[in-house]
Parts: sequence; C-alpha cells; structure tokens
Amino acid sequence: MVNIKFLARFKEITGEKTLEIDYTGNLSGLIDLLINKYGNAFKEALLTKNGEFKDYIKILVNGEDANSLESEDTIGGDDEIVIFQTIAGG
Amino acid sequence: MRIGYLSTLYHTSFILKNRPSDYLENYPLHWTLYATGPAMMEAFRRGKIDMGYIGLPPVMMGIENGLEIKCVGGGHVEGTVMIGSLSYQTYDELGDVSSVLGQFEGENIGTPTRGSIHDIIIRKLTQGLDIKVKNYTWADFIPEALEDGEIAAGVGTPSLATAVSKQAHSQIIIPPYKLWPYNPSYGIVVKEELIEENHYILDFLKAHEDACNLIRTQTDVAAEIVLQEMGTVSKEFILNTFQISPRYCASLPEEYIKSTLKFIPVLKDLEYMQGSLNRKEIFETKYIEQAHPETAHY
Repeated sequence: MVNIKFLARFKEITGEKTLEIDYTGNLSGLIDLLINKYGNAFKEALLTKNGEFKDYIKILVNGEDANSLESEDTIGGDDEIVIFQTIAGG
Repeated sequence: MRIGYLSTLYHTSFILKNRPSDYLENYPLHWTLYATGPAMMEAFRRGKIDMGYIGLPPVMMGIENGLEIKCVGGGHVEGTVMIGSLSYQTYDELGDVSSVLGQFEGENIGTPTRGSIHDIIIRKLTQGLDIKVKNYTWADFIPEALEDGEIAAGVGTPSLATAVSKQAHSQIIIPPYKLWPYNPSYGIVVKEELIEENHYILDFLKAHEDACNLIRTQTDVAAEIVLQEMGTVSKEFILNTFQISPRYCASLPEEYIKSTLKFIPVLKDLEYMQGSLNRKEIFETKYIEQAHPETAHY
C-alpha cells in the first residue's frame, strides 16, 4: 500500500494525517486520484490554473523530491509520499 | 544568473522575485528553491547555481571542501529560534540558556539538516547534555514532529516558529537574540569567478539592500509582496514572522564578520571542519562597501 502523509495545510484540507491507498502508476495519476477524493480545495492548494504544481509545493517520494522523477516512473508497493507547502524556512 | 533560495520568507529573494528593481532590469534571474543551506552547497558543487541565500556556517564548510565561493553581502542576523510546548519554561522565566536547555535532558530536539546553522547552534549548546538532536530534511516536518511528541522542541527559523505556533500549542522557548547573538543567519554568496563581473554583483547588492530596507521600514508593503509570492499563507503569518527577529540589512559590518569567524572553532569542535579559514577566504566586501557605505541597520 502506498502511504501518503499530509502536512499542515494539506492535513487541514483532507482532514487526514495519512492515507493508505492501493495504487500503482505514475505521480500524475496519483495526484488525479487525490483530487477526485478531496475536491477543489485540494486541487487549488496544489496546482496552478495551468495544472502545474505551485511554487513552494513539495511532494517527496521516499524522501526524494518528486521533481527528480521521470513522468513514466512508477509509484506503488510500499512507497511513502509526503505532500506539503514549504513555509518553515531553511 | 541562477540563484538558489530558501523558503525563509524574510529573505529578500521573496521581494526581488516579485518586485522589479531598476538595478536588475538587465539581468535575467532564474530562481531555484532548496530545503536548506547544505542542499544549496551541493547545488554549488554541481554547478547548478551561481548565487545563493545561505547561512554562513555551511558556506565555510563548502569553502574548506574546495568550493570557490565567497560571501559578498549580508541579509539578516539572529535567525535561529527555539520553540517548544507550553509545558516548558522559557528563557524569560528562567533567565539563562543552560537552565532552559536542562529541561530537555532525555528528550529529542528537532532541527533542519546536519550542517545547517540551526543544527550547529543547537548541537553546540547541548554538548554534554543528554539531549538528542534529530535532523529533518525539510523544516516543515518539525511542527508535525512536535505535535506527535517525536521531539520536545524545535530549533529553526522565525518562519518555523510561526508555522509551529499556527499548528501546535507552542511558544518561543529561547528567542533568537539569546540563543546565539548576532549569528549570520544568511548572506549573499557567489561563485568566485563572478566576483570580477563587478556591475552585476554591485547592482544585485543595491537591489538587495533596497529590499532589506523595505522589509525593515515598510513592513506592510513587504508583507503584501511576500503574500503574492507564497499564495496560501496569511498576511498575519508573514507579519508575525517578520517581527520575531527584525534585523534586516545587506551590509557586512565587523560584528557580522567576527560572529561568522567565531563559528570556526565550533565547526572544528563538532568535527564539521578540520582546518581553519580567514576572513578573506570567506568574504569579499568591496562591493557591499559601495552599495552600503553607511552604518549597518541590523
């Protein structure tokens, strides 16, 4: 099961700290699935009107920035995803 | 020019990205967000950035490891704060740092990545105490870790303090000016090869100083600009963060340089560095002396 952790604003929007989901596919498909589940507030927090991730939105896959994934890379199995907006400084 | 920056909203990167400066109109700027100073040092090493907004200790470690970079401007001092739950007594109540830290014996304290200025400060202050310092790749994990009881306190930027106060019942345990006075929380660091391209560095520092002044003297206007950039945080969040340690300036006064050099024995003691560095190996002050000839505003 893919384990998804929501931090801060995303925890507020989803009402959940974590979600376990049976999923195999690319990141884009997973995001579509989450948008279907959590609705417009989730989509608007995550994406620009052009459908790109907003600045300061971070998605980590097993600790690595999802920006380093190729579009065909598969997420599944025991992968751990964290979704947050970075606001806490460096 | 490729610039690395952090999600620390009182850095002038948030102003310069969104408010065109006459000084920079001829220079295309490409901004890349990093999690911490050490992550940005790795980006320098890989040739991905030319300039960065970074705390000085990671810069010194990078120089010692062969990176040809120098700090050409300041930005902010005292950008490290300790926050924790309401159950602990604060510096204001106990009156000294060691008494405050003594409350955390047997506990974990969370801080950003190893080698960040926050990590170095808290490791030094807790030496000899039964306190485990736990590092997080992104400071944004720290509020959650506090809420879950994974750590008893967090050490990081004023932005972290505001984020924690929004999420958990927390307070500032040790304020920035008591945790490590005048610590060089960030400066403007460039690749040495760019230093001779003097117009660019000078123009950037003039724009940077204007932005520091905006944050310091027109806080409300600055907060609006940061709000446009961040999108989803509130203006109150930004204003609260600005006020935690309001020491913004582009200059490199003697106090800033001395405070930076005082980290060298600490870095050696913590085994982050073996050798030593002198001020000329870390700083190039000729441009900031032109851009900011007056007394520092820190």
